[in-house]
Amino acid sequence: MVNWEFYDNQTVQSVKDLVDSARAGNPPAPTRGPKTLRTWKQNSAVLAGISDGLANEGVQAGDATLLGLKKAKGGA
Amino acid sequence: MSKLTPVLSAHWDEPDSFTIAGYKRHGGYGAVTKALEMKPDEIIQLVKDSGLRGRGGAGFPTGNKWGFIPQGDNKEHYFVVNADESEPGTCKDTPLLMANPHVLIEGVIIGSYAIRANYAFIYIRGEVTHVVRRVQQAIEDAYAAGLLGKNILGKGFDLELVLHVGAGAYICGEETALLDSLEGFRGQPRLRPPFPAIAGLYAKPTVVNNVESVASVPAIINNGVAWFTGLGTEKSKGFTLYSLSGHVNHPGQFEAPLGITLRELLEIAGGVRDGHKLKFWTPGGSSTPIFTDAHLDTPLDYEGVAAAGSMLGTKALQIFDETTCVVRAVLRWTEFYKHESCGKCTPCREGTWWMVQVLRDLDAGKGSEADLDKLLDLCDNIMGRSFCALADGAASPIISSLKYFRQEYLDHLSAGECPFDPMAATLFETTGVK
Repeated sequence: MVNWEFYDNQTVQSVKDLVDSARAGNPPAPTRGPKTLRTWKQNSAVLAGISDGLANEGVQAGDATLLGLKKAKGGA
Repeated sequence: MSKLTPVLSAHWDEPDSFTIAGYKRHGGYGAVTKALEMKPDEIIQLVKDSGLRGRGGAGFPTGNKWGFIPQGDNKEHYFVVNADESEPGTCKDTPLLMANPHVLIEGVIIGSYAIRANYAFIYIRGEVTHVVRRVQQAIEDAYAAGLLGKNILGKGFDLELVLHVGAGAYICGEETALLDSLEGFRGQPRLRPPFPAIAGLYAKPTVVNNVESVASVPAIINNGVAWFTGLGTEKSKGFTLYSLSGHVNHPGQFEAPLGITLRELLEIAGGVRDGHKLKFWTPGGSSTPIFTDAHLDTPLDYEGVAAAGSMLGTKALQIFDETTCVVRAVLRWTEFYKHESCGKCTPCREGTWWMVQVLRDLDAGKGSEADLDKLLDLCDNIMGRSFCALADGAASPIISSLKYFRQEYLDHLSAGECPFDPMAATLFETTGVK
């Protein structure tokens, strides 16, 4: 997690890349979250109850969340 | 093909499943309309009849909990949702709220109406910003649609719903600590009795329910008691979310009737990761005693798991294959409990600290066989001797791992080090496997 946003299924290399890109100022988007990574300060405001209106961004669920539903529907 | 029964998760695959429009498209908030036509006592009776039991771990019948609220007492009642999911391995409420927060809100309205509460609270874990956003938005949309606030749907019922964001303490998942935290105090468990149903939030009658329990209510109202009791086993009715994680090929959420076995779930999840075999697993998060491959066919309902010596807990099935050092795993869990112990009760505060010291030595191959007995003695001394179940949870992995894997502890001592290569247990490392 970065700034309490999800970065799922990390490996050693992907974490290194994530940190490097964050330090360079262009972190990738969270796997389940807004289109761009918000700053710590911005997210603190959300947690304090001040909406930033980004609830509709990002996926509704990750692949693992949906796996059971997919299997139930007979998919792979 | 399978025994899976997606109910809560039925529409999670639609990209707008978390919006009010997406929820209403599939009959969302229909149960509220139905429920507000009924008498509150009828709803409590209906939930009692359904046999719905708490999905947060303890498995207490939800309808009974609602029924405990004294009526006609001229006091405010409060309805509180425990969304402070933080048990290691547990990941069901967070994805549920991310994919569909409205089902929870619908359950909250029905529950509050049933216990005659005009204020409801959702206590959510603050370490999942995007889930907080989704729930915030959902509450806003529900207010705008006249589903919250004054005179809901013109039926004369008022409900204010407040989202409270917790600061990420495991102990706040314990209901009385949660109430203290909600009141603005340090989150520490209270002595019971009095139970929250009599003196809960602000010393008023309060119901505290897990997210999944509350979210299951609209489906019961919509489909009826017979439908719900048709699923599950004799004493554990209905469906639930099982979360498989760890050394499985395809970890994920699986919604199935209570009583499914790990063997069946593993089959659906593609089995234990290729080339390895099951060593041990937790049926319901780290505070439930571990199981081994001998328990593959244990029905995963409240009674079946209890009969086998563990607890269904949160249905967080953490799978560990033979590359995992059980001593190391237990040490990690114990470190977690030591860190999260709130410090109110001495046996837990001191006991978990000592357990970590002993386990660290054992993991490093130091210490002696007498330390194993010392560990068990420590467990004896903290179990049941504190206000809440955190200490019991801390003792569970130690006692159960010593029961099934005592030899492995001894192997550490005779080898003078851990005989396992921790790299072999990681998902991304295939080299260096011993």
